[in-house]
Amino acid sequence: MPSFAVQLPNLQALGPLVDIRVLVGTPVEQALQRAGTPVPQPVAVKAMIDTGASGSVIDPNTAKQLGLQPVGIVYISTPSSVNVPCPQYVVKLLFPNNVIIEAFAIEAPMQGQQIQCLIGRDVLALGVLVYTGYMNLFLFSL
Amino acid sequence: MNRLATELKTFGTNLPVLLGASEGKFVLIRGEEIVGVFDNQMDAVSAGYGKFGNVPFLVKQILKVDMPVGFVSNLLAV
Repeated sequence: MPSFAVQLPNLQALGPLVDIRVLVGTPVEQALQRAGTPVPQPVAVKAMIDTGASGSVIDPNTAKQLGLQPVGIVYISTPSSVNVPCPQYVVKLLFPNNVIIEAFAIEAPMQGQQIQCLIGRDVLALGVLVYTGYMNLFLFSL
Repeated sequence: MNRLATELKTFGTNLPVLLGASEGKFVLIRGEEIVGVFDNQMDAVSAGYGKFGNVPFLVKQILKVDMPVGFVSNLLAV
């Protein structure tokens, strides 16, 4: 079963952070190859696993670096806003241990500079998340 | 700026007809053209890239009410 585990110095303070890479989605990659266009290099980002997020999010800079074109518009609601339209893209998320997940990512700006990606319940729905607080460890399995 | 404004307008104009025939499915729209209706989102997206290449197009589920995607934390700056 593909899985990865991350141990952090202080999981409670930092949250479940993981270094991942974001790639264009498979249909995008195929379209670029058919057109003879170079496929953008993966973008390294700091992601947080967020059980309070219905969907996964990438920041605008990541979308721009990958040259992504929107395939949808979704409306998002947060504690401070309601029904904000945001573009949606198809991407691949490459986690440690070569765990790869194809996902629909929403583009939205993040608070601060530390995090560029949220892993939401659309991804968590595909696997098992184990949060072992007293060991500062979390594990995700597909 | 909404890069899919035309497609969203096309979706809204055609929603009553789409609901009658294909509620719950996913429609692929480019400009003012309804390209097709698909059983799942990824099939519609793959068809869009196959037909148009890496350009903006709209894939949207055909629903009476569009439910927002919820975020509990304040991690998003919106």
